Amino acid sequence: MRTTQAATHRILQAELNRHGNRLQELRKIAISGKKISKPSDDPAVVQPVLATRSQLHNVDRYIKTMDTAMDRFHVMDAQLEQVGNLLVRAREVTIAAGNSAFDQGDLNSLAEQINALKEEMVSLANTKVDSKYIFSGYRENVKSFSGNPPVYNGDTNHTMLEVGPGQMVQVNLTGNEIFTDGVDIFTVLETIESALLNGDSAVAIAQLDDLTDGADQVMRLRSVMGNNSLRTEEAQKYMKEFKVEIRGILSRYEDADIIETISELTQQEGAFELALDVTARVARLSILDYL
Amino acid sequence: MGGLLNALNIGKTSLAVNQKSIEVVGNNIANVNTPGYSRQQAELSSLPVVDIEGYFVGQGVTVGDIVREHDVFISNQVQEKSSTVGEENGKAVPLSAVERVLNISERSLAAEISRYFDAWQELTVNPGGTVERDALIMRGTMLADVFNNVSQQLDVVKKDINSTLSVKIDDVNLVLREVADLNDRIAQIEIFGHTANSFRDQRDLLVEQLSASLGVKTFEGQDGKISVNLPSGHSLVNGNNVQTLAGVNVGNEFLLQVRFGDVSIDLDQGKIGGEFKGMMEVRDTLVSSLQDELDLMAFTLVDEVNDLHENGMGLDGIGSRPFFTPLTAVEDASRNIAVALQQTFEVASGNSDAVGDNTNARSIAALGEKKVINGRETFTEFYGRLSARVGSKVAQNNLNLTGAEDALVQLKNLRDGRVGVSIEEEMINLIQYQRGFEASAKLLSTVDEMMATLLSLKR
Repeated sequence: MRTTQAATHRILQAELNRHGNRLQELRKIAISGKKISKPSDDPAVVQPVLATRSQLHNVDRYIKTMDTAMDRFHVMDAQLEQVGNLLVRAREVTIAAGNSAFDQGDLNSLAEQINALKEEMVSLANTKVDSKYIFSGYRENVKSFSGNPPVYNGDTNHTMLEVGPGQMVQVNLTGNEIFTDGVDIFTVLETIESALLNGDSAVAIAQLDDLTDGADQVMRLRSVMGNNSLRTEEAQKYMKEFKVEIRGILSRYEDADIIETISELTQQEGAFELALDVTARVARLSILDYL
Repeated sequence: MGGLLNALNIGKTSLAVNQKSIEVVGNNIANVNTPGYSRQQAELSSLPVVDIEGYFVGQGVTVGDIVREHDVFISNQVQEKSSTVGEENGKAVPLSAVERVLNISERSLAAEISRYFDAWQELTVNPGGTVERDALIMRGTMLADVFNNVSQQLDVVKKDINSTLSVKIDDVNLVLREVADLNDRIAQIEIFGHTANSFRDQRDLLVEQLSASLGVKTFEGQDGKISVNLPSGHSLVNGNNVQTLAGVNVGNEFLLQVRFGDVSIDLDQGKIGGEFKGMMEVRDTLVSSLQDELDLMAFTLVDEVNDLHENGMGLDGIGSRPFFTPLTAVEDASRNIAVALQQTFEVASGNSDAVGDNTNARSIAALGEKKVINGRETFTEFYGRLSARVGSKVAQNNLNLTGAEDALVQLKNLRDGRVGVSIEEEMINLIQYQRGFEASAKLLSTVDEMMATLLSLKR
């Protein structure tokens, strides 16, 4: 067995190659901060990484959807509050009609007020946000109420948005459930107005119960929306925390431990330098210098 | 005087033999970096003893033969390892190409599918929005593009393998021819009792190449000729007969064949070894199955999305529109997938023509997380499995290649240790033969002086 020049150089080359490759790999990890850039880096985590990424995608989408939902809740809530206020004022006006000192002129002016409230109510029922009628169900391009007495033109569909995996939340109310189903607020106001015009204040006052029921009806729906809004807000908070968690999981899968990488890199650089040094030594040593 | 003449003759043989030995050393040194060169050595033997007046006196030295060092065991091992290295090497390049196609970056198929269903999810928030509808159709088109692209890139991998094979076939045929020629030459030289050192070295080197590319097995006959066989036993070189390889295009397929006269035999990956086997394995086993799986994925996607989409209605109140162009077969689905919708109002986000209807968009968006492929996997999971399979193949290939290369380096070092040229050894031999040469010259001059002394006696 002898040591040949070819064998020595073959070993040197193989080792230098190995060190060089490892060095390149570590440099790539250090500079990209990722320990996984291609499937072969760790085939076992490919599926979890892709699943986690898609989950992150979904979470982002849910958070965005919830932003939109919250916007809708706020708009809806403001409108319903306004409807409630109008009903309170209608109540006050109707109660005033009970004053026996009022003559027909006074009643007429009360009727006028009721009429103004009704008009305002109709225009509230036809609220448009972002060029969409918010109380028309799915038919958001159709004016919710039209005609006299106002007739509902929308449909009874509730818009559901997905705010979590399989978790739906209702983000709208339809015009019919607020204004006409149960107590028909428009009809009640209409009745009061015409009774006042006819000087029949007793009929107008008889509508007070219906006005109260109507206000309750609006109140109830407003609280349903409020609950939904609260739920969505909670869900969004949770979803944001969840996102941080998922990011952490993803990072554990694909991000490199930078301290470990750098220290390994330093170590590898040392090894490479040593290998180069040995190579230079081999070149310096020759039998020919001694003959 | 007779004794002196004999001594003179002995000196002459010694001079010649040492000179010849130095030639051999010189040749060894000259070939120190020649691949496959085996160290040669002059075999010295003393000339037969002659009985001169009752004394047995030697007649000097001669070079019996110049032989090369050889170790059949190591040679066979090197041959075998070369075949393994060749096979893993053959896989390495196409595998890394496949890995790039089925990557896990943000531009991967998985990411694009994710984005497509996300666009549906976005549409649920504003089902009537032209921007959202436009974005959805664009996402669908991009998804189809990525599918087409992936399928096409896998085709390119196959094509590249085929063109590499067809180039290599010519190389291999040349080498086979050369081996056959060397067989002839070696037999011609060795029939006279010499050793055809350099020809054998050359042939060993060629056989090593053939092992790397085809995983051949060799057997040496009595006459010094070797026969070269494929792992399946089909003969490629027999004496000086060569059966050449040929590549044939049948339809889209590229077949490797060996010709025996008029008969051609198809060679699949089971019949060959080395680099050819590695490449054909990637082409016929991995890439083909990946294409089938991607086709299944594309087909399922088109089928499921269309089913739901046809249930819904566009803004014009017309239903039964497919989102993607309907596919009739799983085969080539990833190549043929395309978006059928042209106009934004055709997107069926709801089950009615109401602009705010998002029911259908919600069901389609939910497909993204549903286990729809064979009822077992989501699209992301399915892609992840394919990508992981390719990843583990590449990782395994890296490992095998490094291992086999290391083993080959060790074996080659072992072989060099036995049969290679060591400069130190040759230098020392050089000194040894130089001294021998000097000593025999001294002998000659001494004998010459003695003869002169003898001749001067008579003056």
